[in-house]
Amino acid sequence: MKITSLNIKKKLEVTYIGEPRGKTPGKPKTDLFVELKQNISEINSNKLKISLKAGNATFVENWTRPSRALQIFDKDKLKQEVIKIYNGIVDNTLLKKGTTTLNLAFFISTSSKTYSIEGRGPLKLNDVEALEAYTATNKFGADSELTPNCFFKGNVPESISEFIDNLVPFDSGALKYLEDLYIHIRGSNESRGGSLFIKRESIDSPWYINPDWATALDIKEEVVDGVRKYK
Amino acid sequence: MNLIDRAILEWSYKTKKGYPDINSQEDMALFESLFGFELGESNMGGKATGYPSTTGTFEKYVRDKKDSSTFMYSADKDTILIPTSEDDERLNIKKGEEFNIISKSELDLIKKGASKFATIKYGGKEYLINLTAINKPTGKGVEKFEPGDSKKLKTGVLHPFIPGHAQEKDVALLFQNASDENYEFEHKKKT
Repeated sequence: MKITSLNIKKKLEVTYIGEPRGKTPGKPKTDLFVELKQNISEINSNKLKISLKAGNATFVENWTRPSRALQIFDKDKLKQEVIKIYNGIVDNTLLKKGTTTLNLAFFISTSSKTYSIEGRGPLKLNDVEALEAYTATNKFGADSELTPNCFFKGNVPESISEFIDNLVPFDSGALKYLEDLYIHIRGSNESRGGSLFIKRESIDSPWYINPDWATALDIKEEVVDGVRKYK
Repeated sequence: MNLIDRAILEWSYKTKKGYPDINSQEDMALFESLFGFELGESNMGGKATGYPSTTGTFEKYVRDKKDSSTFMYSADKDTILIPTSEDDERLNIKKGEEFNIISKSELDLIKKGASKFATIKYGGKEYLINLTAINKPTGKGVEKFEPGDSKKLKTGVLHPFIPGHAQEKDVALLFQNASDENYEFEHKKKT
């Protein structure tokens, strides 16, 4: 007799249901933390650090500071993109309708249309970058309850077992279920400190790269014919 | 100016702030002294919108409320709790004190004279309470995620929190409600 499938029953005990524990200046990426007494082999852990927003996310990183951006991107790659964005805003080719705001803020979202450079849209995050943006492993640490190890998308089923069956572990394989991510530029007049990566003092003033970003990314400034150039 | 406007204006003139605050006991007492009845939140007795029977409010806010088994209901007024066990004594409960409702449907209610009583769990014991003494959970109270764990043998597993979105609450309730009194559940691992 050929056995095609087998259901192994296991009794599990819940020991914690609630928010992830731990301090964070921003919001944790784990939406709900459930701890069990026994290991769940699908997740390879007794801790279900569940991301529930991941399935329909739009903004994945909000008001991103340079320190966080460098946890996601390679420094040189980010540096080149920031300089290209600066050149694009100075040439007025970056944004389709231009902007009347004084600052450009750095976000990461699923939108592929917030700016254009050299005939392409916003920089798309590669798998490693996207996984970090979704989980913030480098920010909180892999063992932190604030870092999700699985996500759930869809309607909540009636049984816990079915819910666990539908959890997707947050490894590189998870990305096939998640939307692509892109750098997202948002014009802003809000006072948002470090996330405002390109600024100007007034609508008639020239744009410049926020010195905090320039320092973090080793961007050098020089003035050529009264215009700021960065390299 | 219609009658309601005039009543509110009259009430406003006599409050300290010049306008009534429904969270102020003083303002609510003033209303009662002016108009002769209490302007409180309605209780669990009688019918409700879409539920025409005499136990309609109970059906709507307990029987059909998704998280009613863990929701913390509260007393609408100071009242007496009748113990379900002969070993226990009657208990006074103050307005606002919280408990879980054990009765799941209108068929579980107990009739005493003209009144109907629900079984509740309060302080680890079961009591009967008049439906008219249970506060109807409307407004923010419905959204608040602070389920009780009186049907569990263990405490301190579920930690109340403010959900960022509805699905967080739904998943938390799944683990709370679909596990047994020891917070255990059976998982069928597919191989």
